[in-house]
Amino acid sequence: MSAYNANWSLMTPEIVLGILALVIFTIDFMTGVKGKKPFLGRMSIIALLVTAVLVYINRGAGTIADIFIVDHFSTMFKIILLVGVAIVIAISMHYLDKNDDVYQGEFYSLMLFAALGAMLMVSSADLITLYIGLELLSISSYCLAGFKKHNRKSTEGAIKYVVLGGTASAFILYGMSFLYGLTGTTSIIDISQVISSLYVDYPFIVVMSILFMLAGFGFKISIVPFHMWAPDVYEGSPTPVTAFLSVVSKIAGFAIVLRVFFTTFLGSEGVLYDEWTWIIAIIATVTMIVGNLIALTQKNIKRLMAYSGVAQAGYLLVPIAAIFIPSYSIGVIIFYSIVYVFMTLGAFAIITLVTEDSGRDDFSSFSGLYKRSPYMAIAMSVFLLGLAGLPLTAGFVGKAWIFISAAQAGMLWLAGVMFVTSVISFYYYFGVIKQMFMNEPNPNDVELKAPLSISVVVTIALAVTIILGVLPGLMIDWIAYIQW
Amino acid sequence: MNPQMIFFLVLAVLAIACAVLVLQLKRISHRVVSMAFCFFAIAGLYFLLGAEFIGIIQIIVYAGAVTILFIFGMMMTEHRNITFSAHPRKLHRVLSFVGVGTLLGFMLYGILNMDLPQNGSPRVYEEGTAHEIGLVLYGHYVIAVIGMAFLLTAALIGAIVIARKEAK
Repeated sequence: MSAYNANWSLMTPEIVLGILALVIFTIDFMTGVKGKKPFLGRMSIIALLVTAVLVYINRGAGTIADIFIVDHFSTMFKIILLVGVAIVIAISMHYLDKNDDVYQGEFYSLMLFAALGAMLMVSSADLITLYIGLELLSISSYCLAGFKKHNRKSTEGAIKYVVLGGTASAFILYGMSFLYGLTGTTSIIDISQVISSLYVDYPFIVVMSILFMLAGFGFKISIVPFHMWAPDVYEGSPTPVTAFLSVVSKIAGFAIVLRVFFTTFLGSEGVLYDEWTWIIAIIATVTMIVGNLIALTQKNIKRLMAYSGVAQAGYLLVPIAAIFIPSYSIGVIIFYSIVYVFMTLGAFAIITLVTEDSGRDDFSSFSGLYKRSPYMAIAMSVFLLGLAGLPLTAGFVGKAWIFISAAQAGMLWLAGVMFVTSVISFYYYFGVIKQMFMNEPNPNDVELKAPLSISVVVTIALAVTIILGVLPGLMIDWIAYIQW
Repeated sequence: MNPQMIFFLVLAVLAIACAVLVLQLKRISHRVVSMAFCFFAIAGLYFLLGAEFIGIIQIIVYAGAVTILFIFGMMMTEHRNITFSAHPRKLHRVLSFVGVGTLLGFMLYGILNMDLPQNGSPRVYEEGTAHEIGLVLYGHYVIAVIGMAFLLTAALIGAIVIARKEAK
């Protein structure tokens, strides 16, 4: 079907979000350059939630000219990403309230543009739209990372992010160009139909293309050995942007890795699958080990979260490497993504609150948090324990499901590595918890009052983490065996 | 050796040499000039491939507009050398050279060993015309074009925010 007579109503959520983002941007420059603009934050959250509802209403299945597809997979990921961005904006409202040197309106509009890019990415069935969505997300993130432009670390992080991100994009494009050169089409679906026979004729080029794309996507989801940028960028960026990078960029990156690798590179009946699954298994192993081991030595909470995020990306790679049934792996990843989004964003809400209060981001700013704000300290402990994978939290269920799926796929050693590295991760998460409960508060720290936006975010994230931890069936029955 | 091959070799060597010079030259104005020549050489390669439209766009946009933008940027900013850390150590240089060399070796091996079927009949170059490109761009790939529009808007907003001089 040509794009002229396609069913454009499939794109309603994207169109609505695009228009609302432009409206919010227009309102911003009509209300002056400086000053606090909390109403723009509220409007952005409403825009994102409205879009999420529209995505849900529009969930059916269909394509526009074979380059934009709406299916259960894209619907799930879009809702996760939109809710994630809405929570990040709720966290940013507190951050922007505390920081006068950050332009407020542009911050929100760039977040919305990034959300639009992420939606375009997960819905695209064509390498060109996929790349443009990726760049829309990445370029907005580059700008957001450098938003505190008078801060040396923020600028340094943003420059590193731009240079390395550009290199990663070049790798992705180069890998895509091989595929295009061999097939003469950029449509993922068309490529997937001919890839098996192409692999027989040109094995080297096809594998090279897979490796180039894996390297480029690997940068975006920060897996070892493409993780070098993460700690510096995470440390330098404004804290809500760090939350954005570790959640939205990463989950959207995983969505396209799934889309590209599970459609294009699976080949007919998975012939091609054996070629790259062991590479991903090795990368997952190295990522889990390196991420968790380097995290042990960190003294800065944002760097700790960066390495913890690297390790989490390793866990998420396990179901991609150990495919039992592709749709089953997708279900496992979607479940862990949901869990990861809420636990990480809850933790980042509290990190924003604490670091903005103390003005420092090393562990000591957390000391005695229990005496200053018991609720926040307990919630933070739950999030960290969830990220570590302690039972009764959603993190445990997610990890257990990944573990089981890897075992079912016959990759018990990979599941074993995951188990051992999770145990290691307890050590550094407990380091933060110890600071909060065992140490005395710094002498001049008073009781910590959380603003409404942070309290709401923490409460929602806490509720999801515990409810999904105790009653995982609510979600699992619904997600398992999700279809394209 | 047919004339096409000779032109290809000249243009390819020019493009690569200029790209290396962009990295090697010390003064930024020299780098901009060598970048412009690199763009011209790439435009020539497009012409050789029969993609006249893309070749002309390459000259207008890259060799023209982008180079001028770089010159403006050069004039309007003060460009001191700012490094975040000390110069890379010798070990790092050797390691990165070995890494890049291995990658190049693998790529050359793959590309040289690829025996593509010989297309006997010369292709009719209709795909590269502005008419065809317009139809595909605003028909099949219209979503990508609109996505690009948002991308450029976001990039512009971000660039203005970061580059804006604060009023004291």
